[in-house]
Amino acid sequence: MSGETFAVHTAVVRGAEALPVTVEISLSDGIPGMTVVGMPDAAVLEARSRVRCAIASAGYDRPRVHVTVNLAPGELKKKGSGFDLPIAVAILAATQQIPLDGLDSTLFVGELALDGAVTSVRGMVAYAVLAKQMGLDLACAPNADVPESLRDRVKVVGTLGQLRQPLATLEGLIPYLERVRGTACVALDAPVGAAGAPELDFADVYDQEVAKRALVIAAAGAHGLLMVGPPGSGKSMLAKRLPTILPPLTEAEELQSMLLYSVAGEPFAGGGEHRRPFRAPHHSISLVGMVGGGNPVLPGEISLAHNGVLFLDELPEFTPGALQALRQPMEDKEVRIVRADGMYRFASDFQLVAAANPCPCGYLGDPGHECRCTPAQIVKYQNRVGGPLMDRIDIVVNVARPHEDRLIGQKAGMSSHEMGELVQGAREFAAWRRARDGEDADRKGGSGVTEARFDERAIATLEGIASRKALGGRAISRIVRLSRTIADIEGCESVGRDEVIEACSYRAQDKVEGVL
Amino acid sequence: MYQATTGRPALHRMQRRSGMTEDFCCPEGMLGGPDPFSDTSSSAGDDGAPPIKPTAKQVGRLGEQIARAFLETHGYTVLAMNWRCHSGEADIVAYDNLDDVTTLVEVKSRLSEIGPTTSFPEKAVDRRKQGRYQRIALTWLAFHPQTTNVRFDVIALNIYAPLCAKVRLVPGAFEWDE
Repeated sequence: MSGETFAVHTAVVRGAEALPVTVEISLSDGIPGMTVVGMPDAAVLEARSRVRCAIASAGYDRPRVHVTVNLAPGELKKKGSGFDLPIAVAILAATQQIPLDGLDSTLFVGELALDGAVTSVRGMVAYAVLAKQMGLDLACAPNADVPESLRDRVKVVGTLGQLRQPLATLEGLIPYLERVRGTACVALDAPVGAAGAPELDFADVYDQEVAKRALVIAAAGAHGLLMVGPPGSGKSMLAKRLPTILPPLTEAEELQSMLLYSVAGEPFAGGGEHRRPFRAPHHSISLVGMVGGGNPVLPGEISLAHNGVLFLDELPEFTPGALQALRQPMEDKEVRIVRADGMYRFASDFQLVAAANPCPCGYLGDPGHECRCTPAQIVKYQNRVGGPLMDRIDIVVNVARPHEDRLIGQKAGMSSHEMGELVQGAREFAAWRRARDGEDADRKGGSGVTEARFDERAIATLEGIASRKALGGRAISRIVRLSRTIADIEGCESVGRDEVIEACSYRAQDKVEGVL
Repeated sequence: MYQATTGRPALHRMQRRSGMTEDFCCPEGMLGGPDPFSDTSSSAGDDGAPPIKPTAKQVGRLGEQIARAFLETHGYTVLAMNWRCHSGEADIVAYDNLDDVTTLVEVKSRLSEIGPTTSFPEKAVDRRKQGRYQRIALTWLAFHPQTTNVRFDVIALNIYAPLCAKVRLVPGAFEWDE
């Protein structure tokens, strides 16, 4: 009962990374059939039928022997349908139906259709990253989305039949954009404000210059932002335009985002245009949908918003669990999800932008409408967000209903282009300042007044406000950071009195007290 | 590790035998036992009385005899009929000379009219039946050490005349997956 053996490199996606797996096969006499060992799940077991049909319909001979497939290492759970291609390749190689050259330096990933066509699976970017780390070529389907920086060693296997030629003759991957531009479905699936983004412009939003100013500050310093206002005041319109003024993704950031989208099985619409992700989950989202989880464990909305914007419209309508779960990832810039089979890490460095009505009816503080809510209702509504989360939102801005004259007269204010230049300028100034003062200057303990270079009048103003309002340590350091960002926008090396006063105007507590 | 370790070429174990459908009439003298319904058919022709319906067992026995004749005229050597072991009974054990493999053949027979096929007896080879054949195969391998590999074939017969049937041979009808 001796037989042929063969092994092929493949991998399995776990969390946001691919782990190397070796598909070992052994052909033996006896009763024909296929046995899969190595903790396969149902999708891996179904590979048996797909592999059998694909081998036959690609015109190869199917061995009438017993095939034992071992997915090593044995302790790792194998999930998904990406093992079809490596199992088929191993069988074809062991039965000497395809040339062996280059098989040992190639990582195979793909699902097989019954006609022998290869299709891509979830997490192709993770597989490409692993292949690069291991110094292997990646053989995958033609519809795989692999970023440009990883594409040089990718070989496209369109159908199983193509493996009759040596691997070296296979084509490379067609660039991502050329394919995406031709397909309508990608544009439909794309998150709001990403694919349709070129048309979005802040010039479309009239009479909201105060809110636009707050958005510029938020974009410049990556501060959390909450917009409070009555229905129809343009909160959602404003938020959707935020990505248009954010600086473009760097190459490294884009790779991180593409990786997270890839393992989540979603198309990354910003690809090629370096546009930051914008995620706007509906308020019915579950805790797992927000931070990640499930089986298999997938990244949640906060990770899909990594390097971009997480917009929570109707903030108080979110379940408390989903909201409070944001606190730790916001601090750590990553979320750690612990399940029975260990810990999963997903990056989650997102900018939180939220919108809320001031009260259940929405008209509290609106001069044109009467608010019908009781004070108890208002307090209950506002308390739903919770203090600790509000603590992490640096800017709270009132978005009033726009004035009728300016709306009908279409008096456009600042455009995305102007705002984007302010943001870009502020970020460049801050980067220059950090380079001068050392990278850690912003993160030292204490209030940070010295590091932020407050002038004397600014310090006096801050002291006055702090004592009048009885501000705590966290509130003071937040005002300091916000003042510093405002000064960066102005291009000032030192923070003056005006910046401090403006920063204090964005405090949450004053808003609530002011309208009640 | 990444080299195929070949003792002998693997391709010799590829299946050359392909499935076939054929109208087959058993030649005189090839039928092993007595024709189970030669009496019933002749009596029906003589006096016009409705033919007596043969029992399922009779149909099965006749089918096995026709299948045996079919296999022997198509390159098989029959090794055993109704081979019994503690796991169950294999209808026919035959050696496929084309593929050099021992096959365990399940025969499924149905009576039917002449003409287009309306019933597919092979559908009756369900998971349970396949599992039984897999255990029988293990026993056969244990009793016959010279046998290295086996195959599971199914023969479906639509018997439309005492010795004639539409025969469908399905070589390698099922496998043993774990």
